[in-house]
Amino acid sequence: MSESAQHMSSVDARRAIEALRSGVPNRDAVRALGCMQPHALDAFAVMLEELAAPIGDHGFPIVPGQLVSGDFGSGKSHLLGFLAMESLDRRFVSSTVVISKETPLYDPVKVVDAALREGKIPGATGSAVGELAQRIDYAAPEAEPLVRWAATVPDFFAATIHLHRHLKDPDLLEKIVAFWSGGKLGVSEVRAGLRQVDASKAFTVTRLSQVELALLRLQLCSYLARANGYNGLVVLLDEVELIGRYSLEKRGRSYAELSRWLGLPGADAIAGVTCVATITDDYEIVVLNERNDQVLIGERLRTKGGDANLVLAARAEAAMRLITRGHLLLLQPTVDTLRESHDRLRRVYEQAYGWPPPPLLAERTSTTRKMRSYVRRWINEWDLLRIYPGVTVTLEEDVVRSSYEEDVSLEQESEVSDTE
Amino acid sequence: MTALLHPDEWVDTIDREYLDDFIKDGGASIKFAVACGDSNASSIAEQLKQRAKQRSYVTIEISAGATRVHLIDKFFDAVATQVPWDELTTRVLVRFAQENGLNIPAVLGDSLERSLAHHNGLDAAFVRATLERPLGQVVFRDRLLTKEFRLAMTWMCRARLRGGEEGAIMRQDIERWLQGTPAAGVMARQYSIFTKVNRFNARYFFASLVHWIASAGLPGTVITVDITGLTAPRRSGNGANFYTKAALLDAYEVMRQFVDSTDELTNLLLCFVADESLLDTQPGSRGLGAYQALQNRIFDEVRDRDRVNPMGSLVRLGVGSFGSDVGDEVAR
Repeated sequence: MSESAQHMSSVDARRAIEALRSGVPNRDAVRALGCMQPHALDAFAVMLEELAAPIGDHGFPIVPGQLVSGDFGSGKSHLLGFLAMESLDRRFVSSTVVISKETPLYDPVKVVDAALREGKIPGATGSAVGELAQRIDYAAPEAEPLVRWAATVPDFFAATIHLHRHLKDPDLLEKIVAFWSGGKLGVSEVRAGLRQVDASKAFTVTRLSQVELALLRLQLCSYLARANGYNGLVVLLDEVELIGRYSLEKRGRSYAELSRWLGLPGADAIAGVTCVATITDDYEIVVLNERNDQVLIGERLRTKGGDANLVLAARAEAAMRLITRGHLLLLQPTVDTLRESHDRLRRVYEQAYGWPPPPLLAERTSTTRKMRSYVRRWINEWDLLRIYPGVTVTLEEDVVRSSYEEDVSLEQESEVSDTE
Repeated sequence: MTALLHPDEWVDTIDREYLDDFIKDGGASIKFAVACGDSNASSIAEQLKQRAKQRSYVTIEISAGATRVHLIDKFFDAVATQVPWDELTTRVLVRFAQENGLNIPAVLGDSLERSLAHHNGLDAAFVRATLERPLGQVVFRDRLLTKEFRLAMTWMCRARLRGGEEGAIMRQDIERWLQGTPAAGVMARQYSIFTKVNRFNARYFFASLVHWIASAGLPGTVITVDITGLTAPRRSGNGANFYTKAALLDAYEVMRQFVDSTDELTNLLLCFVADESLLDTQPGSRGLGAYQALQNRIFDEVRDRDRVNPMGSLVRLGVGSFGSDVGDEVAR
């Protein structure tokens, strides 16, 4: 799927180089450089195939996800960028969420909201849910699974689907679509809508919890996708290792949520959604082992008591086992893959600037550095040689180490505007 | 000691490598310019702004001291307040008029349809109908604009066409909605705009806005954001915003999202201008070290011993060299 540099416009080639300067492999960079992780691509292809299968009477299947690990700078984000493009090319809605202060993994509502916001369908800007909702034809055969599924969900949510199908009130329709994308919608508003379409008695509208709503929204997105001729929803979670900086309790909840996203058995997985998540490969040693999470998390949750905490403990432990031995490790670059990446990047750089960059790989080259380091070094050196012809370039590099120091400020709620 | 790049040289490079072609050809770039030593962040921002103005870019200036940059919707509001909306809508409509065979008078009055009608010997209603068609076909269907933004720009164009009190009210309502004025959301409903700009959609509106500016035939947008006050550990006492640790991290997260979203942005140079405190990579600091996700993306851990790469995501500007020896281990 990688695109030859000569087929890229110079603007797109420059976009690729600009993105690589930030270590953020954008669409153009990923297209140009391709992906040299065949085992990850093969596993992903199987996941997509399962998700694209015809929907039976029981709805979408659960398609277990994949946890990918690699050192800092080894190309995890690049892989996710490639998978995002593969997803779109194969007619999936694709959503990439970077675990961050705004999207803490322990809070499923925030992560789902982000997944819906970041959802992309080919050729459209803005909310994927909004675009899909706008285009849906409820009478089409493709919408049948959605209609069947709507009959199985709690009445509040089912009522919104019914209203979207039958209501003419543009204001309320907008609110419903906004609600599906994560916004608020009151019980009284839904009831008022049902009165407009003479369906007051068809639904018993009562509040749902935010978590329940979030999971329903995610599934709805998949059904909307299928109703519009797409195959389902792929969620890509990047930088999961940030959870190592949370407190013990939040780490426990994060592990439990990771279980859910990856569709582990007993984890209340989300049908119609498959997920690939990335984590640094030293997480096991530094966090799980050195902080003894594999013992302490379960102990803490079980001590709290209650069925919910027992379930959380089990899910958290399942995720920790996956981090220990169920993940897919990124392949280190070989001399051949390094040379291939170098040559491709050289062509992109030339296409970007109309200037032929000199080769920078020695005949005998070792592969001791991370790919990120190579890419940054190559681009830095070409930039300097191009802008300052004849200059001698002597690159130095700071050693970058992971820090998993706990930071409670990452768990503090973000401020909201006074207008919200 | 770490090499520095003279600010003049950096601005020259940005002008040559970005403003002269890449940005106006549709590219987008996010830069962090760090004023080191005696160099001054505000004058760097001003130099960049002047260079952009010379090339007819729309220039926007934001200061973290005055705008709460950790709130993306407030960031958008601050941008929207400085956009020359009237100029943009006029440009778009003039282009439509030319494409439909209308001659353009040297001076355009308050009501564009009346000006064009008078100049072309036509009825104003005919001119309105003629230009409504491309509004509906081009503006309203531009999929690179979010739905609400398309509606807003369609109404702004209508306001410019009509002029007079009717047009003024329309324009004011839409501008107030774009700028996040309280209660503007209620007024916007009459234009079928039901969503206000909030922290969840502000980024999409931002992408739409920079695309709209380019659609109006301008080379693009240059935004300078002075973040020198962001890292201040305590209130300054001069009324400038103070950022708690949590707000600081939120601000870094906003920046991280911009860095990650260049795929969705067009014709934009967004430059954060900071002082040296940004370069503190200790995890407990208020510099980049406080937020690994941003540090990992922009920090210049690979650099030449003797010179700064002026194309870098983060550039250290000043005269001579400064700071500690390179090669120090950086805890991420």
